[in-house]
Amino acid sequence: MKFTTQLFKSEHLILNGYDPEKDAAREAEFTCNLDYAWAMDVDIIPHPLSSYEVKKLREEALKKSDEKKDCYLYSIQVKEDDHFIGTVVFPWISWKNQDGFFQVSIGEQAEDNLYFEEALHMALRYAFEELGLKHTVTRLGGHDEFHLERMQKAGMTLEVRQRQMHFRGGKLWDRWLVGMSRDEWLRHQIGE
Amino acid sequence: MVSNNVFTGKLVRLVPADLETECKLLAEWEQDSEYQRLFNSEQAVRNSPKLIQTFFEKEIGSMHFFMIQRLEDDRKIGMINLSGFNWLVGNAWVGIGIGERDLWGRGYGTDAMRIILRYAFTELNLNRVTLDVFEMNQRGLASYKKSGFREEGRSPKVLTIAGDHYDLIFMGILRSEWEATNSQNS
Repeated sequence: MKFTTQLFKSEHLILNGYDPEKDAAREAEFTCNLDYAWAMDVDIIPHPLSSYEVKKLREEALKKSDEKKDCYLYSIQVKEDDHFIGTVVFPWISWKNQDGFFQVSIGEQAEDNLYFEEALHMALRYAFEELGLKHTVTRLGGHDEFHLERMQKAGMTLEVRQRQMHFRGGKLWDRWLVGMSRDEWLRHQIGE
Repeated sequence: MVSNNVFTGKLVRLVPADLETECKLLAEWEQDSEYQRLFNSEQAVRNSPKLIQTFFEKEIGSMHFFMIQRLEDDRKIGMINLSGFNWLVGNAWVGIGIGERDLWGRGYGTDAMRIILRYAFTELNLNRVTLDVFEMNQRGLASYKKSGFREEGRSPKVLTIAGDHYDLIFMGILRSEWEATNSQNS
């Protein structure tokens, strides 16, 4: 880990401060993808949100981030033309335990295919190399083999399978918690 | 036949909280930092009864919160609640604490859990109940297993307590599992 490493830039992407005025309308369109909507909040029943609702939700998150310093919200933009494709969110961090929850969400399938791994790497690097976490975790619906494979490729582990805790496409699935420790991150960096 | 005795078990009953009185009791239990560390992964703190009451006045609408009352002398010995309801999948999280440490390990928590699972599955129509427990809480872990919970995984060594690191263990019980155990017992 070097202090000269660029945390907010990668080969194709930029992590930027989320701008509710600019980003919320596009993000509202993404919520028609119900996996995207599900990832936006732990407690809500996933459904498409209006731009007003997304703006309000994100403004509240930014306010919490500013006041409590235990959550972070970034927009993911493509370097080439700065267009917004999704978010990296750390909705809660336990500073006592150096543990945090995060979510990487990209709205369009084609862009998810292209950029998810790169955005995931940026989120993990931020968690371990900047926030100083010793563990981080994200969650997936049990139907989502696509993202699980990519997370495992990044060195993450399927830690928890909560049976029948996710509903999608007319059936109950397990809810997966996929995590990584700082030691695993460091080992994975050396192995790369 | 439908029972009107949903909230009574063999050793305890679950009763709604009288916030004004009970928050003093909850604040007293917080004096015991071991009690706090068994179910709170964040810093152990002391709160005034007034602050606890303010918290519950704000949050109690989103949970089903009960005091655990001993049958033999009506003494309030702990608390149990269901929260984080997700009606789409029929899930809720359960939290439990026996505040009176001289009564730990005597089956009161297991009896309270038995009651709340019956309530969850037969009255609230839930499909599963979820909890997490800390690795060092072996008494709790044994009690939850006895109540029918199964381990569903763990986040390794994510809890830092008194300088040591412990797993965060996730457990769940499905209604089908509860029904199978319950029909065997009856």
